Amino acid sequence: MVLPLFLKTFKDQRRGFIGWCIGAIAIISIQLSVFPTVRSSAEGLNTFIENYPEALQKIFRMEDYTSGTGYLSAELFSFMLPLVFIAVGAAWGANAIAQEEERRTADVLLTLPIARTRVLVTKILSAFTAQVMLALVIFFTLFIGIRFVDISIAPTKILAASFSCSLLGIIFNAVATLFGSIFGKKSIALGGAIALAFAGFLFYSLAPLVHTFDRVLGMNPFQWALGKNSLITGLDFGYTTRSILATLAIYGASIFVLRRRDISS
Amino acid sequence: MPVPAISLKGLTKYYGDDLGVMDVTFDVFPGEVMGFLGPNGAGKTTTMRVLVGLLKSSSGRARIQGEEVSIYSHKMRKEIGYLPGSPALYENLSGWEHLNFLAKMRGLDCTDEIRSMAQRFDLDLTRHIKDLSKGNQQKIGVIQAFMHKPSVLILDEPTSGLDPIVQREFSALVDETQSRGAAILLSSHVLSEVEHLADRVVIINAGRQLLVDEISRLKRRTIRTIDLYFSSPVSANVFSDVHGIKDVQASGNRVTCTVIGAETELLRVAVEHGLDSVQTHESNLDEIFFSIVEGGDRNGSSTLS
Repeated sequence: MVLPLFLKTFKDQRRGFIGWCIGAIAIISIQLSVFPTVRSSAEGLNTFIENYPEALQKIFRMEDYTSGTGYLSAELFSFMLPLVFIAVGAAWGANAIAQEEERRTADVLLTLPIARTRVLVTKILSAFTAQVMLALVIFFTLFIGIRFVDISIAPTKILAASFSCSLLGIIFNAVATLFGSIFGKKSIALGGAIALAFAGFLFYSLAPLVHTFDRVLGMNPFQWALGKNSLITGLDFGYTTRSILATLAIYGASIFVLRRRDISS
Repeated sequence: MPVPAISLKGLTKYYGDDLGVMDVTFDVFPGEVMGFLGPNGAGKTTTMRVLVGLLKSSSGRARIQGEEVSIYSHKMRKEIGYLPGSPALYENLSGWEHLNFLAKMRGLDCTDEIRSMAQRFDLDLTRHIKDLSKGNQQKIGVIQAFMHKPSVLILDEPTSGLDPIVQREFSALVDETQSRGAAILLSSHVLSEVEHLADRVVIINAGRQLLVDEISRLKRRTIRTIDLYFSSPVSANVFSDVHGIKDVQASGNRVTCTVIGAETELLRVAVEHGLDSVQTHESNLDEIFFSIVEGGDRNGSSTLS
């Protein structure tokens, strides 16, 4: 790792990162503030949800909507918070190399006496650190927030759910980094990662309805991160391992490509 | 013969099927400034980007201080100061933050060098780069290339955007750097600048190297126009047998001709016919450059003897 580059990457991204953290805190606070109403209307809501198709109940984790764990799982960990992690991850990935090339700063950065591999590993480590920090922000917000609305969830489970989401952020950071390393264009890196995330979420969501999607569910990063409800079960070792291995493979491909590619003017 | 600080042999670069440069071969020795001339798209920037490890060569060899250059080898880049052709600056940083960041990335403390060069170029380091004029941004690029006292400098259009006063300061910096033994490869469209700074020039066009030569020799070997003034009218036929002259025109006491190479024979014949005075119109480097590029001959033989 190259410390000055690590610190500079954080400095460059600080505004966006702080914005996403505030956004996540706001989402959590709003959802928590609504929960007392949900709990007090449990009977009516349960009847209402029972009328939903089973597949939709599964997609949005609404089977246990009126319990504290079920509510947070449905409102935060099925879509909103994964989206925040993916947005942060994809943005940092697109900035890693593609932004440096587009702004031509790659001409100075990659002509320093530092191997391209070290430059990219430093950028990856900074993105990884950002994901961990975001997971911790979400953990502490929930850890404190649930006390105000009388929800009881073990801190380890909140931590597990937060880090499950960060697996998604990290893998789509790797995807954006790979596209950036291949094409050197920020729009392709960001657009490619977001498009793949969208496709992955669609396949994951529709798997209960579409048999073909269900058959490939075990290869879907959304299944690895969200397939088991970490807020209830904790981290799933098998899925987490798959996610980490896939992420490392994509980062490895990024390094392989960048080491060999021309940096054109 | 000292080891060349920069050595290119048969360097060829293709972008897919498109030719970048072909068979570029020259050396730059320690303490030498080499001008690198050519029109836009000639292949100057491509050659320089191969030398600093941004591009892979398709074939041929590029060495810096005797070490093979490639995009994989990064250690020899300690020896290189590189100024890219287009501004490559972190615009969200101040000049000081940008330069200090790059120094730290090299594991160096260049505070004194940065401050002294900023003072020399009258540059305010506290302002954000995005708020600076193109000329001031170029000054930061120049400082970034020189601040770590490299033994090899690769400067792509270094004076682009600099005003004449700063250009003079830049020339002085190049002279000082050359005096401490650094090798400098400098591309430019401002041909007169190369004439003042460089010892030798490489001329390249459409990806192909046309010649490498000392500027002084280049100028000697090129076509000059000479006016000869006699005490009485002289016929143009007098000079018909003189080797290396053409376009002889006589008008009263004046004879005008163009000379390629030595003038000795011409002057001997002129003296025999009562030569009073001589006026030589030297080709400047711009004329030489254009005559070679337009000639397109690999050895420049269309214009050179």
